[in-house]
This record gives sequence, structure tokens and C-alpha cells, in this order.
Amino acid sequence: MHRDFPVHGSSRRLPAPEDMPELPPESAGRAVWIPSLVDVQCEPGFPGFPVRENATSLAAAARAGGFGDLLLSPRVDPVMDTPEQLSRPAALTGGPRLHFAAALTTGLLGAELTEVGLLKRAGAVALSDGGLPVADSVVLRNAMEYAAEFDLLVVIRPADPALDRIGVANDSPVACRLGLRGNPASTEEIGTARAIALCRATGARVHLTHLGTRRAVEALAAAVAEGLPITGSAAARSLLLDEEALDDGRYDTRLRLHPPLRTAVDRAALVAAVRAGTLLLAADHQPRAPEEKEHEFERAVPGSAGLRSAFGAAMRALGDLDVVIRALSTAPASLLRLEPLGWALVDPAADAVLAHERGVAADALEGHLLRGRVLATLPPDR
Amino acid sequence: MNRKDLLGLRGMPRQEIELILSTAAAMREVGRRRIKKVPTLRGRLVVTLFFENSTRTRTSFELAAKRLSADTLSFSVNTSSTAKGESLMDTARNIHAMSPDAIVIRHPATGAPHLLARSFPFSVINAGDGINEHPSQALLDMLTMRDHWGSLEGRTVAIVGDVQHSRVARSNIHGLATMGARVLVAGPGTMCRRELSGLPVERRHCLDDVVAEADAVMMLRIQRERLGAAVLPSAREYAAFYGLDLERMRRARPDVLVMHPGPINRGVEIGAEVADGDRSVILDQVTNGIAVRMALLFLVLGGQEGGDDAS
Repeated sequence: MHRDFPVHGSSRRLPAPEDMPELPPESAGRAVWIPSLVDVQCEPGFPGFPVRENATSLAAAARAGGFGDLLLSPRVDPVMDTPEQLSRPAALTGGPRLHFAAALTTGLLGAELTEVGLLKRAGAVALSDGGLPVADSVVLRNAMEYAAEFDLLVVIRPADPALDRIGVANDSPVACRLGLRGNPASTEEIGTARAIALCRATGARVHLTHLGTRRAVEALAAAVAEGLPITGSAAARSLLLDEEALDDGRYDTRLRLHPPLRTAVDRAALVAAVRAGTLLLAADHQPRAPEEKEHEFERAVPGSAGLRSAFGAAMRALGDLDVVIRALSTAPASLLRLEPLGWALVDPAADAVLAHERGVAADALEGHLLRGRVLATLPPDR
Repeated sequence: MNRKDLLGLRGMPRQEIELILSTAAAMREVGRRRIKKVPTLRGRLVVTLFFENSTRTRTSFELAAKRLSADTLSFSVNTSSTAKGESLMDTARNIHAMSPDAIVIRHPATGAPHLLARSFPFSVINAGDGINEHPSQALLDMLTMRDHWGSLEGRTVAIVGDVQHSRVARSNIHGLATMGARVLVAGPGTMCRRELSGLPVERRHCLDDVVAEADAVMMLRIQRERLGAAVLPSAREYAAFYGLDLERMRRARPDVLVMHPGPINRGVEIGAEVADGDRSVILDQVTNGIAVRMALLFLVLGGQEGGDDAS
């Protein structure tokens, strides 16, 4: 019986947690410890949305997915835009370490700057638009200038605010065939160009989330090569899923995501950029309640849980444990300046179809073959 | 026809479309009788559930159900109130409690009929979902063309107007392509977008590019609310490039069919003289609509092949 397991890439061994169930022999033979995973794009369901998630279910999802650190989006209710709001959430016992991105503008309304210095003092490690594009470029520039002085990371989902509002699927021949209104890739290309220009102008540390288009990734790579303090991430699921997944005509609302799944060409570009080290991965955890998904496609609330499936999606798409560790653990950890990390015990070769679990928020990857299984998670010490 | 629901013409095999059209042709005879009713669907309940106003499609389906002796129940749902209140699924659960055999649904969101079809045991007939499909309209259009041509194979049909946002166009494109017809589309760049390459069509710029080639010209209704918005500058601009007037009709084939799903905007997409002219089959489309909807109800609710027992 294996009760301790090798650390990947090292001669060390670490003991398994006492409460870990007996492993199937093939998993026991392959299991290795890797650094626990870090999610830079996690939008929890609390406070404010108890039908989506609570502290217990978030901790369970993180543990099941191998995550030891989560950067939480300010887009909760009430919005995390004051030091008082930021100090409220309690730590999760035995769960992941929580880090907070405070709102970039008051109420995420895109008009007034938040109290950046006081938010940092209250524990914020980043400022974020919570996935809502800041409409006014002057406000965004000022926020970056202000944040740069406090050395806070500015987290942005790049999008043109007007183009971002249209469409529920990638604007393409596929959406046209399906009778779905299209959201154009140009929204992300424009948003990325704007963020890069303002990063260059202000010197702020910028992280772009939800990247899904080839041209945005190319622009990011050029900005990184130029030496700008900019990074970017894609949702792990977007390495496996593209718009073709919708083409069965079922209008499956698990695939209602925003930004939408892009083309197979875009997906290949994301995979290549992660391999090249220009792109990090995120779980993009946005749990939704069944009653938010049980609607007509365009009326379902966009978003998908992601913590449980991120590792399996990344392994399936990339096939290389070292690349996955860098994309989902060490690179995001260095972005957030976290150390030391916890540990995750994984079987990197276990193939399994992601099943829907009753009582767990739906995941866009349900029914898809993933690779790799998380066997145990030891979150980092606080 | 071994199919619980009729959601769209995308992917529907040619034999099934042919079966529907031949059944509809047989059903048409019922409408010519003095007593316009057969007992085929006696005791079956057909519910029309319309989330958008549409007098003609709804009355056409209700008349079709009545001619087959089905009971009908009609729900109109004001979408602005459902936005705040009941979800589509909850509305459908309530109707399901009344044991309907079929629901005919029109809904402003693409995929609404698909959601009901996979969630409930009753049959679902799509009477228009968002910008996606309106299969009964396309079937009645194809029946009208078939009446004139015998077969759709090798024919050229031009669809002109807001193809991008037209469920009538989308269902016609899928159906016509399956039946071996060639489809040309034309319209302003905002309504006939490059993304139409995802459909089996040839995209042209303006009406003049298609009118001479077409065996049938199908003019789509221009929605008044699009005029003057960022989509379409004005009615006169539209009429100048995409309106079917007598001048353009002179360039058309002498035996061209002029079609329109209605209601028409006279003087915008179609001139009054053309709409009322001898090449117009617009009113034939209405008559065929009842027959096609009888065929759909009959086939979906377990009728036998060929439509013989309708007579």
C-alpha cells in the first residue's frame, strides 16, 4: 500500500493525507505531488448569490480541483469596492487561501476610482473590473496610473464595451447557421489593444483574463516581447472547447459563456501560447444555479463552474505535466507573488469523462473526456 | 414520420420534407369541402403558446388543428411581464399539467422550442424561435413553389432583405438546399453579412444582382424599427436598392414567382403593383399555410404515412 508519493521532478516523497481513500492500483502507481494550483479568475457565488455557491461548496470545489489559492473577483453582492467590504469574508477552514481583487471603480460602474491605497492596506492584491469592461478609456487610464503607484495588479477582461454587449455565441458562420446572434472576436482584439496601449502609457502591471482569440494572444505576445509588465490568461476549458461544440443544435446552456467559445483556430492558438509560456490558465470559476441555466440559450446566465475540471482540461489539451504546472500553478503564483504553495496529489494519466454531479454547479465540460485526476489537495499554510 | 417534434428544417432529410409536402397537398382538399373538418385528431389537445404577437401564424395553426377536430387552447404571453416573472420552463410545466398532446410555440429566443422538446413528453412544433427557424413558413413556401414547378430540384430562389435576422429565410435556406434548389441572398451589408457563408447560399450585393436569375424572388419583411437605426438608413434608401418594383420586375424572368411571408410593407420592400400583380403568389402562400400546418400536426401526432386517412 502506497502511503507516501513522489514529488514531481524531485527525489522527495510526501505522505498522503490520512483521510485519503485507498487508490486504485494504477493510480497509486502514477500519483505524484505537484504544487497546488492557483486560480487568477475565480468569481465566487458569495456573498450575495446563495443559490450558486457558499463558502463550503467553494472550498470543496477547490479541494476537488487541486487549488490551494484563489484570486476572488470583486463582482459579488455587495461589490468588493471598500476596505470595509474586503475585511468581511471569513477564511475557509481547511480550504484554499483566498486573495482579493478589489473593484477598480466604485460599484464596478466604470465612473469613480475606488480607494486604492486603503483597499491595498485592507488586503487587496489586485484591482479588477470584475469581467465588466470599463467603458471610459480615461477612467481606465487613470485607474492604471493610480494603481501603478501602489504597485497593485490591474486585472482586466479586454473587450470593446459596445461590441461586448451584442451576441451570445462567437460571431461566425457557425452562429449564423444556428440562428444565434454573434459576439465578434474584434471586441477582444480592440480591448486588448486598448489595454496594451494604456499599460505602455502608465507602467501599471496588467493582467488580461478570458483571452480567447488568436489575434489577442498574438498582441499579448508582442507586448510581452516589448517588455511591458503585462500577462494574460485563458480559461482552461477554452483549450478543449470551441464554437463547434454548439453545432449539435441542442442549444445546451452549459455552453452559454461570456465571452463565448471562439473558433478551432483560436483554440489552437491558445494551446500554442500556453505551451510557449505566453499565456497562463485560469479555472474561470463562475458557478451558476440550475434555475439560472434552465432557460432559452440566450437567456441563460452565462458562466460555468471550473475549479473541478481545470486540471483535467489542461492535461487533456496539453499532455505535459510540466506545462500544466507552470500554467496553472507556478506562473500565476509568481504573478500574485505567492509563496510557498501547497500541494496537490495527482494522477496525470487517468482518463475520465466529466460527469454532472447533483448539487454541484454545472460545468461546460460535462460529458467531455478529461485527463488526469486530483487525488488530494493540501492547501498552503496561512 | 417518426419524429416527436418539428423544431426546424436544418438537418431534416429530403424524404421527410417530401412526406410533409405531399401530406399537405392531400390536406388541402379538406379546405375545399363545404364541411371543412375531418375527425383525425378528435380528442387531442393542441396548445398554441405565443410569446410574440402573430395573428396570422397563430390563426393558421388553430384553424389547422380545428380542421383535424383537435381541441385547441391558446396562450398569449406578454414577454415584458415574463421578463420579470415566470420562466419559460415554469410556464411549460403549467401547460403540461393540462396534458396537451402538442404545443405550437413562438418565442423571441432562439432554442426555446428545443428546450421544451427535450424537457417534456408532448410534441413541440416550432412556430418561430428568435432569428433561428420558422419551419412551417418555409414548408408552405416550398409547397407553393412545388405547385408551380412540380419539383424544386435545380431551381433558383432569391431571398432578399434581412436574411441575417430572418427565421423565415433560415428555414427556407435549409429546406431549399436539401431539396436541391440553389439559394441566392441579397440585402444590405448589415442584414446579409459575411457570416452567411455558414449557410448553403450564394451571397450577392443588391436585388439587381439576383432578380434576372431567379425562378422565385422571396422578399423579406423589413422591420420598421430597424429603419433609421444604425442598421438601415431609411425606407427610401432600402427601396432604391432592395425594393421589388415594376422596373426591376421587367428584368425578371416572365414566369418568376414573387413571394412574401407577410405582412408586407407596400412601397418599401415590395411595390404595391408587384404585390398585387399576376406573378405574386402571396395569397396562395396563406392558403397553403393551413394545409402545411394540418400536415405537421397530423404527422407529429402519430398520423400514418402518406396522409390518406385525412380524406
